[in-house]
Amino acid sequence: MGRYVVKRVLLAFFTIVIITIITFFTMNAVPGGPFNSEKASSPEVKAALEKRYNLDKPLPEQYIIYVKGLVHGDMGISTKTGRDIAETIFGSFKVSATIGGMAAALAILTGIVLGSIAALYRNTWADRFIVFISTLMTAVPSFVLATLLLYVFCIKLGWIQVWSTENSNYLLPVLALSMYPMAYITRLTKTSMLEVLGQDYVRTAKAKGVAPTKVIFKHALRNALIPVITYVGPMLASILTGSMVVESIFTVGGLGSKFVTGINNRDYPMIMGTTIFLAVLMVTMNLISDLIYKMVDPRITFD
Amino acid sequence: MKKATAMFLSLALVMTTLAGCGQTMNSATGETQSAEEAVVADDAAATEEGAEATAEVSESVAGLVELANSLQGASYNEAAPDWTEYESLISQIKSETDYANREALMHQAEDILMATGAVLPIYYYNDIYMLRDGISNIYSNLYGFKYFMYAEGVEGGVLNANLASEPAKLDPALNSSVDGACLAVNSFAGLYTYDANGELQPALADSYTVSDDGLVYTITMKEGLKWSDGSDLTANDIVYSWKRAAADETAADYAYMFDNIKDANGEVNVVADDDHTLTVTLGAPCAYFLDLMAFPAFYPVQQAAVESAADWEANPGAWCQEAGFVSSGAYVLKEWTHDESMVYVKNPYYYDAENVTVDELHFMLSADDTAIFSAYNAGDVDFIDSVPTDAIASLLENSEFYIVPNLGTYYAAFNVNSELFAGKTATQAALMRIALTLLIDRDYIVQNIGQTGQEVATAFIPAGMLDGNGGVFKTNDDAYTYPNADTTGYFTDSYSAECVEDARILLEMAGYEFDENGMLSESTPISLNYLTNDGTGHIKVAEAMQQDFAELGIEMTITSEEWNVFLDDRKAGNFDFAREGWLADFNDPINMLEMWTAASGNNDCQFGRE
Repeated sequence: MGRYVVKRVLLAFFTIVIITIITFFTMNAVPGGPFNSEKASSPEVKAALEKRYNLDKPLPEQYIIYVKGLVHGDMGISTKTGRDIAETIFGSFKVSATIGGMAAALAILTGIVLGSIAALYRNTWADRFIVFISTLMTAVPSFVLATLLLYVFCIKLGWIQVWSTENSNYLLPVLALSMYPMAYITRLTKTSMLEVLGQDYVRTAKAKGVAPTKVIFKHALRNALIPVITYVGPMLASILTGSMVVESIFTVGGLGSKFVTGINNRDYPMIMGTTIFLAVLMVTMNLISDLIYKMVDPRITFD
Repeated sequence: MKKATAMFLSLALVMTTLAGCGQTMNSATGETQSAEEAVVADDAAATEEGAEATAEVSESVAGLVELANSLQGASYNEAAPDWTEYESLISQIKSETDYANREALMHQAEDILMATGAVLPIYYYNDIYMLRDGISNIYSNLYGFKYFMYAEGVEGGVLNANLASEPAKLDPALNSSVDGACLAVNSFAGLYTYDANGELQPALADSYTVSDDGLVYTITMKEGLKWSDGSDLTANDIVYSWKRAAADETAADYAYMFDNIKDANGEVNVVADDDHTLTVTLGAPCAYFLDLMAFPAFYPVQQAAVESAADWEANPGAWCQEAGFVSSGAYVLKEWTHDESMVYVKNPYYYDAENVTVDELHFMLSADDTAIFSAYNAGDVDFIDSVPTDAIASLLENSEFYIVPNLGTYYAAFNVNSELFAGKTATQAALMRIALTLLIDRDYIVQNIGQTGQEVATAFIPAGMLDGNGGVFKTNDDAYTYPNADTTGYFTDSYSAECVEDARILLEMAGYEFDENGMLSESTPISLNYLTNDGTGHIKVAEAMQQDFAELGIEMTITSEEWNVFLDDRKAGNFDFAREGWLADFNDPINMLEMWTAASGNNDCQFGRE
């Protein structure tokens, strides 16, 4: 197990290095630049800005400078705002992670419960209703859902303010973010639960007279969750880093929009920062979900 | 010489028309032809055709055609206009000491620019916003800067507003966005400012005197001025701030605005005689110098505050990237939740604090049309600076919807070095571009796409811009009459069948042939590409032009690019025809004329460039 973890961490490190190289050279190959604007700055100003951000140096040298800074915990400053990238990323991640964490918890809990109900009460009205809702929710794009929530709760009912400087209300963004993963987890749980319920060991347990609740929770659900765990790892990484659409509609200062605006502005340090951040998070989540497999299913061994 | 020819020509035309005799008319045309030959001697065929048709195109565009006829080809590209005269005009304008001469030179420069047909003005920008009924006295200047501090009728003293999303830079010297400028005018103060009538008023300044030659300004500042931390704000702060804003190391986008204040060594020539007296020495008289002092790039910032940031030398704007920085305006930034909200509170040390009526400004930081419009409709914000395009039509009659004038032009531009013009003379290429200009139904664009009553553009310099000589530039006066006197522009402002007819004549003069249906002949096709950035409005304008061009069988394709790529391509001249727009930085035509010199970074038409 220990050896496995070390191996995985080394592999993860290698993956991230590759990602930084690809991102760095790709973003520089894309046309456009960080100091483009409708009104062009004078050559002197442009030269001063390029010098400030080391853009006047050859690309490989720029990359080395960046990596050196990164090793020392310096992710650079934004070419657009001049703000510290690390501060921006971690500050907005805190917001996104709060909302994303709540959304993920809601999605996982409700998804598993609904999925199990649908599987256990197969072909009843409850099953059909759950299948209908989860199909609908996987089909509705998040911007439609978010706009709908905004319209109903903020404009029609007037229960929640669209925006205020006081405590941010996270209810609507959490709902908007959680619907898709919730629906997906419901369907995954249902399918996998149905499969597990048909397995020999479940039948054996039932035959032996084990209490039905115990069969479901101890034997069936535990095994049925393996595909769910596979999905939840990367899902967490993406939901915790926020969604551009949801943040934009509910005026939330999260990380989600930074990915897109960074690229639109050709804000090179921001593109590198967000990419590396997401890569590290993704790799970590995958590792954790692999380790959780082992705890859930003793049949899985690490080699 | 050219002017004399033009005047002679129009005189001859008028005389013959008055005489009402066909015979005389013909002979007059003959005379015109000979006069023209003297101007464009190197291409006899073109001149002959040109002269013939000059009599045929309608009067509304005849003057412009005359100007185009006098264009010469550049040495490196016969189809591109020779740009030496324009370049020399711009440098003359910048050093001219007589305001009347200066205005005349600027008209000459615009004449040349418009004669090329490379700049195709569509409409003059205006600006919209929504403000809750019951609230008044929020005003906007010609550059779109909104002044909130004197608003009346704001409940509880807190105004909730939306300008845009997270501002990029709050440092007034470094800001280059309109929303950033709005924040700057409310939280910093300059020597001068604008009042609700758009008039300049002294702010930190008390008064000024200017020397007879217009070069030396002596500015007296108010007594007892304070920064928001209570320390004294003096003339030395202005000196520091101007030098900082102009310095290369600061890399401010608006550094060029200080060019006219620099001495021979490139130093900003501003001296603090004592704590509240400044002496500024200009390189050339500047009719808009007070406007400059009301522009955020000229606002003072506190040296101690700037240098308190850890890495201020490498990152000059670092001192105001979080709330709590020192400023001098009506408000100070108290809280800033990035990408969500900003809370500005009244600055008790502001020189005019007693007249500030709104205690706090709360800004919603969003650029999402749906969210912004919903917040307004739900009553969460009382001022919004943008509305969804789809909603404009239904808001036009709404008393909360405001349309205010803006100083700028939405236009399209041709790349004069485009392959499209290969084999043409400079005049032919210009006539062809002018023909395309005439084909565009601007009324349709304004009514159906712009929708907010924009004024149809007939010249590049927008209506309302001052002439630096005590008047408005876009007017006919004793010294200058526009080629189309009726519209004070270069062509008509109302689209009609006559425009299409004129376009056909001009295209024929440019060497194109038409078939019996009046469509462009297959032997001389025109097919061009229009480059625009993504954006529904821009693409709709492109489609309208595409349809207009199809009227004569001209094919136009539309390429839409992501913003940043678009800027690169447009700047490098990788296009035939592209979307453009310019909002003036200050109220003088030179701002929109100097951008077309070969060295300028904004010369997308590629004038004077090989």
